[in-house]
Amino acid sequence: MLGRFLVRQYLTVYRLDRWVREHFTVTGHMFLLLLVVSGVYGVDTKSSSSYQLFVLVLFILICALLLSLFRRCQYGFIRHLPRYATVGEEIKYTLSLSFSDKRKMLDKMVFIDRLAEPLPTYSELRGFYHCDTKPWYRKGISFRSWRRYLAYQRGGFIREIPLPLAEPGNLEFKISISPVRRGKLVFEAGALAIPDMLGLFRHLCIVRQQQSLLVLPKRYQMPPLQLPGKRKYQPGGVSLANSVGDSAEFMALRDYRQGDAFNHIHWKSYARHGRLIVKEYQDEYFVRRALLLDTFAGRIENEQFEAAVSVAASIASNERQNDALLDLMFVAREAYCFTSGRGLDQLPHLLEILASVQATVEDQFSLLQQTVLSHADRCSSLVCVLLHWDIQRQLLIKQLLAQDIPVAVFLIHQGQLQQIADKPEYFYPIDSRYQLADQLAQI
Amino acid sequence: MKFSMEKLILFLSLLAWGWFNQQWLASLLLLLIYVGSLLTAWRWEIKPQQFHRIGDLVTVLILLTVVYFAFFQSGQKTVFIILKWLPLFFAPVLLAQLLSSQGILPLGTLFYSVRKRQQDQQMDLDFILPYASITLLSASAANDKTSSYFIFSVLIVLLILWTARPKKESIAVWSMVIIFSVFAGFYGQQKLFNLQTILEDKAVDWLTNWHTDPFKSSTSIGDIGDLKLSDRIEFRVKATEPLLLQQSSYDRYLGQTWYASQRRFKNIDLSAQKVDLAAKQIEIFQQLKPESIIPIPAGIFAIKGLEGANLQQTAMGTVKLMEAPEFVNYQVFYTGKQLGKHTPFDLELPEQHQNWISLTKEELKLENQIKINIALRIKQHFQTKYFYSLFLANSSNVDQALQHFMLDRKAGHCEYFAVATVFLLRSYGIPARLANGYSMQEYDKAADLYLVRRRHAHAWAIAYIDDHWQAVDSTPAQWLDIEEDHADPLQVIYDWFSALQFGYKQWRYQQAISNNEEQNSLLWGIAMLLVCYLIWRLYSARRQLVRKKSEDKLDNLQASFHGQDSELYLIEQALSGTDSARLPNESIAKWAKRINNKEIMRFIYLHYCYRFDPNGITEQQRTKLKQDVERWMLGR
Repeated sequence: MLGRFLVRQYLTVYRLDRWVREHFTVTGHMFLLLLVVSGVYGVDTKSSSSYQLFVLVLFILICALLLSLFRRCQYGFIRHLPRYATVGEEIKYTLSLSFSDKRKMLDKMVFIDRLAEPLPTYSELRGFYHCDTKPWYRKGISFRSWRRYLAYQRGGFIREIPLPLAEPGNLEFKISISPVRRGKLVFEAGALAIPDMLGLFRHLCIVRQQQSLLVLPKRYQMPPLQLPGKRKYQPGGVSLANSVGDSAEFMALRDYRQGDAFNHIHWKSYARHGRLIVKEYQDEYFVRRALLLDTFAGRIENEQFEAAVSVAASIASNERQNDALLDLMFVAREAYCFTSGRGLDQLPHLLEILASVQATVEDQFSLLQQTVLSHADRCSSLVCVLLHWDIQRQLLIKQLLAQDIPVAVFLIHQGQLQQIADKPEYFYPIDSRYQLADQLAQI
Repeated sequence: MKFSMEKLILFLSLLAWGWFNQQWLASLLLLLIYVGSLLTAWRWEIKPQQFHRIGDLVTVLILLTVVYFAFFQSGQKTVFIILKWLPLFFAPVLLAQLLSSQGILPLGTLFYSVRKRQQDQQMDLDFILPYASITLLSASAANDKTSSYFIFSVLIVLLILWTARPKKESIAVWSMVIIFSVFAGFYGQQKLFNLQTILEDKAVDWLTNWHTDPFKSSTSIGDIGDLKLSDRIEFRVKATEPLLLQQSSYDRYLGQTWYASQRRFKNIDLSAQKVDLAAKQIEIFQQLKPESIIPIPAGIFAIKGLEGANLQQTAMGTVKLMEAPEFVNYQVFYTGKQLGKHTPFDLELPEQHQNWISLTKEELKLENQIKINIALRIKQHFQTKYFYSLFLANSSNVDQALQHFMLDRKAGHCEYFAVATVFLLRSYGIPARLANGYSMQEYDKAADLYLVRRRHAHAWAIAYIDDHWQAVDSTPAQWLDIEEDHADPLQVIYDWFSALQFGYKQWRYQQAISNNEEQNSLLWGIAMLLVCYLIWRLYSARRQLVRKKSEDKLDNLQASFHGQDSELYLIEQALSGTDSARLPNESIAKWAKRINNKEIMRFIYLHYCYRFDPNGITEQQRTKLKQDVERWMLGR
C-alpha cells in the first residue's frame, strides 16, 4: 500500500522536476533557487534582509512567467532516423525544422526531442528489481530506482539542442543519442523552448511527431567457434531447410531409369526429344548450426539476461553466413526457431528478432528442449547460451552429446558459480558484471 | 585580463558582502584570490572526481559548522551564521573552477544526485554568477534595515538579467518590465515586513501559554487531562537550603486570567551594591535566551556575575535580563524579605468566587485572628484536607474548575492551591498575589547543586504581612513525590547528557572569563588538526575502497580463466597503441608472426603451455617466462 502510494508520488515529483527543468533557463534555475533559499531565510523578516531579495526575485519571476505566455511559434519537423542502432553506440540523425510563420528567430531558443516514456506500474518495478527476493529493508522502490527504470525504458538521453540565430525558414541540425537498451526506441514529440524577454522562463511549443528505430543488441568480436561438427543431410535443401516435405534440390536432367517417380518426368523435354527425361535432384548436405538462447530470467538481474542476448547476437554475427545455416531457437510464449544463412534469410533479420526477445517469467525450458531435440538430427553442432546450470539443462546437453552432436555452452553468470559438474568440452563461463568484449575475445 | 560582465558582477557582490557584513578582511582576501586566479596563467587538469571531492569538502565544512554551533554555541542562530559565511564556504568550488583548465564546473560538484548519471548525461555549470548570487544572499545576514540592501540587490540582479537577456529584444520594453518588477518588489518587501509584525502580535497571544510572561498568566486551571511537564533541567543552583525562586507575580484576576498591574521595567544596577559577608546568597548556573526573566529568591539586593548584561525590574519584583550571554553563572544576594507596597488590586475578589470563599470561611472560623496566624491556618487547612493531583479538571471553565476543586474534589495541582489561597487571604483583608517560579527540591550530592527541572515549576501565594511580602505555599508537600513518580524512566540518560553539556558550558564560561587567548588558539589548532585528520581519513577510505573494488574486479577476472596472469599480456599491453599492437581476434601466434618479433615468438611456447596445458608449467619455467618478459620490457 505504502509502496504504491510512494510510486504515485514519485511520478508527481518527476513531472514537477521535468517541468522545472524544461521551463527554466540556467539563469532561471538560479533565480528559482535564490527564491527558495531567500524565502526560507526570509520567513523571519526581523533576522535578515533576505525577504527583500525574495520579494524582488518573486516579482521578476512572475513577470518572466507572464511574458513567456506571449511566445508563440508554428513549426513542423521531421527526423531522418536510421533503420537500426546498436546499444551503447552513438548514432546521429538529422532533424529538419520548418517554421510556418515568418517571425524573427530569437536568441537562446532550444529544441528538445522527447522520447516516449512508458510509465512503469508498481508490479513491473517490483519484478524488475526482484523485490520479493530481497531482504525487508531493500524491498521498497526508491525514487532513484524508479527514475533509473524510467530512464531504461526511455532508452536513451537526448540533450537540448541550442538553435543557431538564423533567418526564419528551414533549419537542419544533427542530434546524437546513445541507446541504452535494445528494442524499439520511440521518439514521441519535439518541443521548441522559447525564452521570455528576461531570459528566465521558456515557453514550450510542443509538436507530436512519432517515429521509431530499432536498437539491436550489443555485439562483440569473437573468434569463430571451431566445433567439430559434420555436414548433415538436409531434406528439402536450403529452400525448405526449415520445413518438412519431399522437395529436393534440383541438379540436372537425365534419361529415365526404371523405378523413377513419374512426377519427376520433365514433360517439356519429353516433347522435344521424344524420350522420357527426368529431373534429377540432389540431396543437400551442409553445416547447420543451432543457437539456443535461454530466456528464463527467474531471479536473475536484467543485466545478466541482456548479456546473454548480446552473447547470442555476437555468436550469430560471427557465423559465416555463406557457408552454413544458423537456427536461432528460444522460447517466448511458445518455442520459436528462425533460420538464416546461405541466402535463406539475412543476419539483420536475426538481430531484429534478438532485439525484441524478452525474458520469460516461467521456466519453459522443457518446451525448448523438445524443439532442440526435434532439430538435433539436422544440426551439425549446437551453441547454447544459458542463464542457469540446473539438472534440466545439464540433461539436455548430455542428450545432445549422446547423439554425437558437438555442443558449446556459454553460461552467463554473475560470479555465483561454484563447482561446475558435468561440464561439456566447450564450456565458456561469462561473467556479465565485467567486460564482455574481453571475455568473448579470449575464448 | 579581459573584461566581462560576469567578472564585474562577482567583484561587486564580494565588495558589497564585505561592506554589509563588516567583514572587510575576508572580503578582500576573497577578492585577492579571485583577481589572482584571473591574472595567473597557471591552470590544473582537475578530474570530475576531484571536483566532487571539493564539493564534499564544502559539505563537510558546513556540517561541522552546523554541529559546532548547534551543540556548543546554541545561543546563536546557526542558520544565520551559515548564511553569513556562505561565500567563504563556497570559495574552494569557485577557485577550483577558475584554476582548472576546463574553466567550468561539473554540476555534480554541487549536486550529489547528478554524480550518478552516466558520462553522456553529465552537465557543466559556470559557477561565477551562482557564486555572485550566493554572495548577494549572504549579504542579507547583516540584517540591514535601510534600503541599501534592496538597492544593492537590484543592482546585482539587474546585471545578471542583462547577461541572460536574449538578444534582439527591445531594450525599452525590457527596461519597463525591470522597472515594474523593482517597484513592485520594493513595495512588496515593505508590506511583507509589516505583515510579519501583525502576525507576530497575533501569535504572541497564543504563545504566552508557553513562556513566562511577566504581565500575564493563564493558569492550567480549567485545562482538561493530565498535567505533565518535562524532566529537562532548567538551571542549577548552589544554595545552603531549598528555596522558592520567584519569576513573576500577578495581582489582577480578569476574565479567568491573571495580570500584573505594574508592568513597567526600569533599569537597575544590582552589581554595584555592597555585599555584607554575612548576607544570604545563592549561585545560579543557567542557560539563557537573549531576553530572560530570571528566577530569584525573595528580597534580593545584589547580583554579581552579570556585569555586562542589562538588568531591569518591575515594581512587583520581576527581574528581566537583557542582552544576556548564552550561559551565565551569577550570585544572588538576598534578605528573604520582599519589600514593596501593596495596591488596591491585591484585595480584589471576583464575584463568581464569593460562594465557595464564604463556605470555606465558615469552616475555617478565623475572624479576629492576626494576619500571620490566618496565613498559617489557611496553609494548614489545604495541607491537611486537600490532596495534590496531576489530574487537571473535568470542566474547561476556570471558575467552575476552581469551585469544584474547593468544594467537591479537594485535589488539584499547585495552581489551584495558589489561586484559592490568594482569594482566601484577600477575603480576610490580607493583600495577596499569585507568584510563579520554581521550587528547589532535588539536591545533587555529587555536584553539590540543586537541580531545577521544568516539572519543578511551581505556583504559590504571596501575602503582605508585617510590611513585607511572604510566601504562603499551601500546596501539600507530597506534590514533589508525585511529580517524581511521574518522571520519565529515561531521565538518567537525559541527566547524563545535560551534565555533560553543563560541564562543557561551565568550562567555556570559565575560559571566557579568564580570556586565555593562548589556550583558545591552541584549542582551535587542535580542532583544525582534527578536521584535517577527518578529511584525510575520508579521502583515504574512499581511495582504499576504489582500490579494493578494482582488486576485486581483477580477482574475478583472474578466476574467469587460467593463465590470465601470464606476463605475455604485459607485452601486449605495452605494444597497444603502436603499429605492432595486437588486432582484435588475432591469435598471439599470428600476431607475433605478423610483427616478426622473434623474441616474442620465443615466449609464446611457454605462454601457451601455461595457458592451455592441463599439466601447466613448472616453477622454473614460470620464473623464466617472468624474467624473460621483464628483460624484454627493460630492453625496450
